[in-house]
Amino acid sequence: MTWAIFRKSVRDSWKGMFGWGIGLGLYALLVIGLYPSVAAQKADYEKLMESYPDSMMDMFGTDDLFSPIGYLQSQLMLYIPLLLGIYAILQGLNAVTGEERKQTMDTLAALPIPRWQILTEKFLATLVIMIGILTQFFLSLVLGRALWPELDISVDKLAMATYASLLPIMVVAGVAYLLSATLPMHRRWGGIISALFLIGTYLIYALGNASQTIEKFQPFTPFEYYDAVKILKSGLQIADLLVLIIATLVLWVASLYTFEQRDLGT
Amino acid sequence: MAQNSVIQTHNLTKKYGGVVALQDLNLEVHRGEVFGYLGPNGAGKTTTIRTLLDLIRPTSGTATILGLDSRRDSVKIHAQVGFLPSEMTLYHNMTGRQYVRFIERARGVACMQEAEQLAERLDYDLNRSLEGLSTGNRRKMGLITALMHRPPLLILDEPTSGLDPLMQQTFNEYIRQIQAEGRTVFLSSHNLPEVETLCDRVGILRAGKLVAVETIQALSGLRFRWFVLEFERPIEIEQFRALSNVTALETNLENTRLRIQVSGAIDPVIKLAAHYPLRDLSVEHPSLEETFLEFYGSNNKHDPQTQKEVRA
Repeated sequence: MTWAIFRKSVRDSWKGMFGWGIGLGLYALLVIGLYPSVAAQKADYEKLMESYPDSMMDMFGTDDLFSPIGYLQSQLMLYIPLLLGIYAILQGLNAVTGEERKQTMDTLAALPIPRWQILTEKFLATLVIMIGILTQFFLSLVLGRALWPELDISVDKLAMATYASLLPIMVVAGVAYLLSATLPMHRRWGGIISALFLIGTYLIYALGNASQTIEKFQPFTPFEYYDAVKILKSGLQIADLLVLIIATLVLWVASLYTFEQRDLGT
Repeated sequence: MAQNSVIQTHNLTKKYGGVVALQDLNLEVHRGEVFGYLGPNGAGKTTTIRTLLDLIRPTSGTATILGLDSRRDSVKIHAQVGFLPSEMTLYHNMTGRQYVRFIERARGVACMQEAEQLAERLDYDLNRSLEGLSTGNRRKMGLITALMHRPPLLILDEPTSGLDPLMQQTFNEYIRQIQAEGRTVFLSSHNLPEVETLCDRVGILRAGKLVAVETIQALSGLRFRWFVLEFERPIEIEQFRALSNVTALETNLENTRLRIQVSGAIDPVIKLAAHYPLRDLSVEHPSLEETFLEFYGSNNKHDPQTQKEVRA
């Protein structure tokens, strides 16, 4: 592999990588910065929460919203896969349909690089970009923890929870790559279907905690296999992460297959 | 495959649903020749090229390029081909030099020096941004990246479209140099004069079918021109109609304006016109499409003699 497409894809996205990383980092610092005041009024908040229905509390994925772990999950970690899922969709759609729409695909595909390699280099670039964003986010968590020690969570647990969120994000990226590789020139439809997948599975996951009817569909969402509270309390959940890794690999292989089969648009 | 063939297709067909874009193409391009692939817009030229390069897959039939199967060995073929697409679009966030570096790295062949020489020859600055380039400059950039690795086969889709006449001349010189080096050029065009200047042989494509493969000498014999003659006073139309190389004729009501289609020598027409006071004379070269319709329009009457007799 020459890695030319990988390098170019990373280079094309470095502004986005730092934009998203800094944005999420500042948001993390804001959330962590508010924690000391929340912790100081913990008793009042808990009293207030008692008046809320249980189903609403279930949606936050924890029954302890004011401990450091519960607070971080409900105010921050819960949204990271959702937010970065949006960027993953954009990355996936740009990978193939973006090149076709810009009419640069013919030049790319006429290079002595097999189609599977073009897609693989782009997919790996997306992976690296997401790691770059999550690293900035993680550094913000470490900084926030240093500035406001009330958020008493170990650095290694913060690292595990942060980098494990990469896996549901890559599942979403995989869906976008598959649609991009399958639907020539239909970027809009690829975008709509990917967004429906992201938001739909997220809602199923969130509402499933509060509804038994929806709960049975939770295993079909990537978010079911990323539980930041469990990770922050007990470390990585290997079985869950394996499910996400396998799902990502299946989507990636399916993308390679469909991209290999079809005519390229100009 | 014949030993001398660089491109050979066998019943190559491409259909999009019920629409036939290319039908049973049997084509052979020889080593060291400049082969022109002619046809009006929508005839299937780009479809042929994209099928040869495995960008789209044939519905049926096969193609071999440099002795390699176009589908199975596409990566090896791409390494030995310089390709210029019909719509040359570039990455806007790069300079020309960065783009050359990217292609160079992807090809795994050092060719910056050759790219710089080509840029100098085409009067193109590699340091400028690729954003907002004119069609001609995009074409130049495309030519640089298609030629810089010195491939044995060049596949160029409408290569001079958008180039100014001076650059077209430079391009022509370069193509002749490539041919002198024993390399092969396959170029598509709908510009007949360009093809006449550059090519040894031409394939003529119409509605997805290859209607003829001619040497350039035979193609030149097909040419006709329209002369528009304006006279001070009415003329005897029948005198012009009687000329043997006049294949069509139109006039106004007053018989003072004559539009006349001439194949072959124009001498008899000029001599006859000189008998009348002439106000103006202009020449219209037919478009390639007109030439095709004239000689390959229906029932594959691609013998010029036959066609003339029909018209007469």
